[in-house]
Amino acid sequence: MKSTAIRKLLIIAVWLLLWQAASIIIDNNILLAGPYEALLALFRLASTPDFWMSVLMTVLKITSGFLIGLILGILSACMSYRFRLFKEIITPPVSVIKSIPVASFVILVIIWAGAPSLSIVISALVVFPMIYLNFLAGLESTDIKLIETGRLFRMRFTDKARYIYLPSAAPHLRSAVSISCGMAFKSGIAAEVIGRPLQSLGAGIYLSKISLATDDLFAWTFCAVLLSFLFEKAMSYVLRRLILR
Amino acid sequence: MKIILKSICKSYAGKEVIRDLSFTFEEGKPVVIEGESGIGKTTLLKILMGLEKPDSGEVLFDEVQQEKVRFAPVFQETRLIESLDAVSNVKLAAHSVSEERIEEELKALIPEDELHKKVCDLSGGTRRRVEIVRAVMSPSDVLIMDEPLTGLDDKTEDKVIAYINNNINGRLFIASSHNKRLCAGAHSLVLQ
Repeated sequence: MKSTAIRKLLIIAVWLLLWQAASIIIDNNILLAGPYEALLALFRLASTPDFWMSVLMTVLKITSGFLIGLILGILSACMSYRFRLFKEIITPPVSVIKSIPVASFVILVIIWAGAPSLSIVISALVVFPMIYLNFLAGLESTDIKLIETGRLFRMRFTDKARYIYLPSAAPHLRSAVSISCGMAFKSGIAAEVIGRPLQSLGAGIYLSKISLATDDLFAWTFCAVLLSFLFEKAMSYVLRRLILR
Repeated sequence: MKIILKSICKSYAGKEVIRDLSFTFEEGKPVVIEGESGIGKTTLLKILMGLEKPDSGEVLFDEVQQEKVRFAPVFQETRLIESLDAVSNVKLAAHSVSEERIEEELKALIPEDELHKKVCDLSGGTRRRVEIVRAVMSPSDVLIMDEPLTGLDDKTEDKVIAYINNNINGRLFIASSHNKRLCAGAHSLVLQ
């Protein structure tokens, strides 16, 4: 266990060294800033209140969007499982949402709702079909024999949900949440880069692009990756505590 | 209460399993369905519970509508919640009964130290007995047992037979079994 961790750290160190070496060889901070410069940029950005405000606003908005997508996805999956007509009605919009490029949605949302709520809507739209399809697949794979047993013994709805349906749907939900956490952050920040709402991580990335500050870009990107990682861990923990026990 | 079967037919993939079966099940007249393996005993029990539809014929319920009839089944294969213990499994089907009472009932058929083990850690025979207690304790109108004595040794079989006979409590009792001792005074329905 300990040796695996050391091995991973060593591998990361090798890549950082290669990155630093490449930036020294290229010797142009606009083309490729090294990890040292990126770290300095991160410290510089982190010393301003605007940076923390941007991070906070982005996290709040993407979390809100994620939760909206999660709740709508679960509720719609339950409705589709229960009512065939609902499933037939909702299947076309789900397919459309799943296949339309995020950039098209971004433009539409900017026109309809404006930039401030952009990352909320985009994260929700990205998360919703993933949660919906996976949770529905989980419900549909529930053991028919247990469903029959629950029905014949007239088990309570909450007992059936907890002991018959949830054990079947939980693994599907867990993997969907794990994937959609990262997707919510990626698409939410991409949307912010296009829409540039004030005080957002995406706007910071955009500013680093127009000022050709590659070190700032890496600093913002590192921040986005870290937030996405922490968010996924937090969501997995919360779900495990709440429903996936 | 009565359940009347009228000219029931059922086939699977062109093979006729039940042909033109008519029979009346009545309260106070337990019935044991007999017949060779694969003759359609399980299919008939499933038709009675509404889990399968006959190709033709009717299942009529005297006095009550089918949806209102409460069945308490013991299936041929184990159908318990694997992550729960024996007591909790019975409690799910008999939620108005206290845990203490359920424990007392279970003790009649399974060792005390197995009451709170997850059912996935119990032997096949013990799980079978948990299912029998679950069916017996569930508030029901009809007790249906599909080969309830499968996997039990002779001594346990006697205990289970006594337990079932003492707990029918006026309910309609329908079972399939190769063991003629299953229910005292039961009528036979022989499938051919």
